[in-house]
Amino acid sequence: MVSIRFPRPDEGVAVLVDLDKCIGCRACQTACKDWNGRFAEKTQFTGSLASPSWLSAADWKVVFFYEDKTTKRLLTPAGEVAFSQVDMVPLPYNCMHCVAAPCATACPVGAIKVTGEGAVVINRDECIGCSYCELACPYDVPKKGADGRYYKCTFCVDKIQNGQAPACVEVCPTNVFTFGPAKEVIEKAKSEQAKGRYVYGLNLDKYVGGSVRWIYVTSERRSFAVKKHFEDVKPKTAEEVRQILKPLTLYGGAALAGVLTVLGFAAWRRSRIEEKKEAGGKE
Amino acid sequence: MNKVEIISIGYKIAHHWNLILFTVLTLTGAALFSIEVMGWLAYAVGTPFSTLLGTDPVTAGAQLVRTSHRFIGFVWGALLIVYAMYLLVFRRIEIFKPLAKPLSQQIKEVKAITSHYMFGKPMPPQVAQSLDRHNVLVSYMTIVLITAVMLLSISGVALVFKETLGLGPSVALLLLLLHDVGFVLSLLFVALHLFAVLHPANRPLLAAMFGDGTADLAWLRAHMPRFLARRGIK
Repeated sequence: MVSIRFPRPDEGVAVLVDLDKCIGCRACQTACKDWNGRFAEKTQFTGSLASPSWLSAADWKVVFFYEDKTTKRLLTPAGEVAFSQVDMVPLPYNCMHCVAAPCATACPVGAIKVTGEGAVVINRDECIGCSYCELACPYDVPKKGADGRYYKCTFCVDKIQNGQAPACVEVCPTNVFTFGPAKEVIEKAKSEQAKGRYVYGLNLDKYVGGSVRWIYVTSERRSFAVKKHFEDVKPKTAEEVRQILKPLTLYGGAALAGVLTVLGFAAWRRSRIEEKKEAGGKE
Repeated sequence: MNKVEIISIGYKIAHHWNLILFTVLTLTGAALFSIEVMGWLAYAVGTPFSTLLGTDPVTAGAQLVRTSHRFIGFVWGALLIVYAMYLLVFRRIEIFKPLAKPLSQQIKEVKAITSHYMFGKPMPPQVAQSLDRHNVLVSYMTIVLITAVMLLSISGVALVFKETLGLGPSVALLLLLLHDVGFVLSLLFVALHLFAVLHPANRPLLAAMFGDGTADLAWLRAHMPRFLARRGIK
């Protein structure tokens, strides 16, 4: 656990992911692999169109597909007709770039950097492969590569710092992603929420800093995808306890050592005085 | 001057190896627990290898201490298993004998020993006469140590083999927390143990552990009368 300065939620950049615009073409997934030089992996069919079945060291962005029964309403000359149908919602997913990234706090060697833009980036050369980031991440994002090091989305920080948008954002044919200053993106997400759309990423637990930099917005009808995808996301209590235990050990241990040292010296002094008294008595 | 053996050669060998391995494990583990405090160690260890590993000294050091921590952990575990089996098979465990005393007497003993060691108050005669080879505080400290060792060893082995065992991130994180708790408990034990053995009243014990294993009979009569009585030494 290394102390890191996290930019405020409204500092840096963010992305608004409008799922109602997503057609599941996976151009973002391919662009991510292309820009970051990630190699291709043979995948297996797991009963879903998502391929691979989860993020991996070679796949930093994956489009997931969720199906559910939804109710549609149509206005006809005879009046409003409601009918149910199966909807399939694609959900492009990568590192959420938490405002106070628990992975960065958990990394024992400070290999996970948080840039001024708010990008949470693993420095490959500094990673020792301990897996603490994977254990601390509530979104199950960092993944171990064949070289024993951990990999995940970098927010294309190299592009951002050169005035460009992330590769996945640039390539999207339907403008699913709105990339920009975090302040503007948050305002846009809030205005969508005010319109009755479902938003994920703004009012989250303090474990992730209260919000993330990849904010999802969708119509209520298609919100089941976001709800299903993030239903298991919760703070890692064990990691929270670890973060309390560390300062407690350092400061508590120092205090205990100090007290015992003082008591030890006092005992030695008493012992010396007694020895001198005994020696004086003998003389 | 009459001398009585209070520390056997087997005890000394086990203690010295424990001392060496535990110190190395503590230092290497502490580097992962708090790199802010132990970064100097990672730097010192990693500097000669950083060029070879193609990374900065601290990262190289952290890699090396992490790898050696795992290896030395297994060596320590093997030593502890062998020593524990020896103690159990030959029924040499005496350290829990004070726990057989009634609880009220244990509380009296704890109060008397604590005041004696910490504030130099004289030991009440009835407590002094009931002292065995190990006092009741040592018994309870041993329970802390055994708890710490169990936590450290079980969680440590499970973490090393977490992929083989198919443990998920939540279980692995819980194991990591238990490993940290074991580490904290072991540090608590070490702090109290160091205080006790470096206390001037226990100087003969320290000399016995790092000397010939014997202590003066006169000192033993004052500090371990029940132990002498059990051994039939007058």
